Amino acid sequence: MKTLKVLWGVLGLGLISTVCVYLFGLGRMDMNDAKWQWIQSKIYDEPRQTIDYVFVGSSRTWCAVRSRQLEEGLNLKRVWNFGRHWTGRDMDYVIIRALLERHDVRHLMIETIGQERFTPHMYARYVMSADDMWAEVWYHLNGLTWRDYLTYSDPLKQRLKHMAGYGTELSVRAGRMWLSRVIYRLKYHREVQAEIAANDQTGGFYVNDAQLLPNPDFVEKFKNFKPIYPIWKSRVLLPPDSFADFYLQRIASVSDQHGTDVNFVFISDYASVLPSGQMFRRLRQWGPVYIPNLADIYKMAYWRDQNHIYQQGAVVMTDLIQQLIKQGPLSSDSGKQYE
Amino acid sequence: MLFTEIIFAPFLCLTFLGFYLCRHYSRLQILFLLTASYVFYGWWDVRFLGLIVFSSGLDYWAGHRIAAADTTAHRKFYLSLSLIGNLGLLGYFKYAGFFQQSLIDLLTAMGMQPEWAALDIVLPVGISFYTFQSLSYSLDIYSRRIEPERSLIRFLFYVSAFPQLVAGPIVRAREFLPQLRQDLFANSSSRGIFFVMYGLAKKIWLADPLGARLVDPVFAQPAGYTSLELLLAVYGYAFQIFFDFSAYSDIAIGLGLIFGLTIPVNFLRPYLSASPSEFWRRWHITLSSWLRDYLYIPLGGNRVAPLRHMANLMIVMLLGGLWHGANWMFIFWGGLHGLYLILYRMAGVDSHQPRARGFSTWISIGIFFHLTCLAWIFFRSPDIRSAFMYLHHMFSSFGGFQGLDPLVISGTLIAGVIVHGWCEKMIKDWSEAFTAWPWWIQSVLVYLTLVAFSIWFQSGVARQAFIYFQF
Repeated sequence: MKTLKVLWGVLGLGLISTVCVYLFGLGRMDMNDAKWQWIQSKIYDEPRQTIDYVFVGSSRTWCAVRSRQLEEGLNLKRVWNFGRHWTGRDMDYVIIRALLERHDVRHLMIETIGQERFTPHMYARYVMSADDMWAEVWYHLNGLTWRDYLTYSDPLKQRLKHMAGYGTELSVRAGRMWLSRVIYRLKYHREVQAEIAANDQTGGFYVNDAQLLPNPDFVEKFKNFKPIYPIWKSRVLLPPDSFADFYLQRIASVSDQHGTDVNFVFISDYASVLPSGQMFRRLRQWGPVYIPNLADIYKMAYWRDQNHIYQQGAVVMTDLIQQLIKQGPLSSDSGKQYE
Repeated sequence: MLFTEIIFAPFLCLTFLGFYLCRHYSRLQILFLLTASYVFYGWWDVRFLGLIVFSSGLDYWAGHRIAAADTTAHRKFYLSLSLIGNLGLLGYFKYAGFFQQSLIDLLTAMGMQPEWAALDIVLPVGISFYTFQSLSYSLDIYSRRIEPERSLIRFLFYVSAFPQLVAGPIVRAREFLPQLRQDLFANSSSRGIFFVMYGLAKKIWLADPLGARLVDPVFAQPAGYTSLELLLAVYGYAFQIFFDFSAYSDIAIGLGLIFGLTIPVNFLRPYLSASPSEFWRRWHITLSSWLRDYLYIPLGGNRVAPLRHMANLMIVMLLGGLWHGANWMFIFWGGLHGLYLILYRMAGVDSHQPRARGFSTWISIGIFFHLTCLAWIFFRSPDIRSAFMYLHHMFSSFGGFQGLDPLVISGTLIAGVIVHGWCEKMIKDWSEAFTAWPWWIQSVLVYLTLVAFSIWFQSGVARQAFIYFQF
């Protein structure tokens, strides 16, 4: 009988944690990741303010968009680069929702890399609000058929596993947030604070080029690359109810509620071709897609590896984005292919 | 389904809830636990449930036929059917591809060019464990140690009980089946929760970090590390495999206790062994005792001529190695342990009697620990050449720390030594002390441990599958 009581006790504590997440909107996560901490400090700690442009995306955006250059070039008051580690539309949504609830954002510039990943972002479960988790759970359950249940299919297992992860996360989040806050304060606070200050100087743009030595594999792989700039010819078949679309729809909806303008910007990988027409049309239903001219950025000296651009290249990339903002999202040579 | 997977948490809660609701109906309770066990196993691949049902069904039938047979010939006949059926399954799924490839290699070395398509057979998880478990039932009935089980449901649950289904401990029918006739809910103990948490902590905080930070990178590229680092990686692997496997066993024992079942201990601080026979009384105890009872003793054990005795030891250890996997490295590892047993017996230092821990015993422990580590190099390496290359670098690339973080590595290893030497000794007392506390203190402690695990996972440390899953 004692086993039962102990287990009930553990479940009860888990329930209290879940209720706390609901009641107090617990969604911060302290960890040794300076950019992440900077994004959180901007969202949660700064007084409400108006931001002209916020770039949301992965480390590609982090390395490619120079906030201060845009502020000067477009005579803007505030531009933030919210590029962080790894892609994930769920994480884009979580950041955008928290941001729009606390600040007035005029334009969102959301990174697209020409394809959509279906895997969730590694941090998302730790910061997602409880109601967003439930929404995702319903999304997953709606994606299953009776056949999945009868045959114990892989989609069923994957989705159940994912949902179990969410449930467990909610049940420990209150305690985890409190304990990790203590650990973070004791162990990383000083060094991360210094990096947060550095990010404030650049508006979130990555400036530590010295840490990014040229990747020899990249140089070797692309030494004979002849740049071409076509749209993807092959038709990319994406499920209509894809995970990415689910979150893009929610991003559009939350932005609409706050009167924020949603845009997409193609932050290319080195040697990748332009997004397919099908992908372009999908994104355009939620907002304009800005296509920088690939010919201007496919210079090997600009790139550290296939995904990340050096400052030297970022100056060019930011300049291209600036021109697109002034002249129209498809005004580049690459963009004209979509007209 | 892994015990460290998040999906296991709701599975365990739901299974316990069902177990509780069925507490007044023992047959229904066993049926429910059997269903949960099949759900647990089917999570990996539902198709392979057929194998476990076949294996258990065969032994259930054979057990009754053996008991009912009136002549020795008939008894042998039904026992042979059980052996052929079980070992046939194991042989096909686990060893067919290996023997085919070995034959191809041999013929190629002899100058022939066999053009056979390679067998690509998926190894069902846990087949080595449940086959041995099921087989022991038929063998015990044959040797009249037990009577056949009347209830098919009980027998099916004995073979497939989810706590120890995929990686042991290997439970004997005579220990397990009588428990199913008792009130399982009344026997349920919160000590089990303590063991589950302890096992998870060993797996998550010791075994996985040792693998990810030390063993995997060093064994992947031994040429890039110094002698010291290579030596530490061998120590690291010795502790990694111990913590990994003993963690699984602790979780299994804990789950057993939660559901009112006693599952035998599988490890007793094995690296404090002064000789190989002591090691095998402390390491993977349920396998070594299985091999002793069903292979070594039937072969004649030590009651035969010295030469035959040594041959028996070597046969058992080679087959013990082969049990771990269809790979020459496991056979080599088993052979090395067989050699240790023979040499220690010849030297007369392999006593079965417990000794006081004097200075000379500690020297013996140190020597045998290093012999064990030597064998682990062959166990861990992908092939013989890699193992010898590893040894070559270990004795030629002298130097201190070069590619590893000394603080993290030495800290983890020291923690490993302390847990192996001290915590493993104290764990029984601690579990009893834990049970004596009020239920709400136990709940808070368990909850805080879960929170600590979640912080660890948040930091992005990679989780690894249990090593013994592959066997």
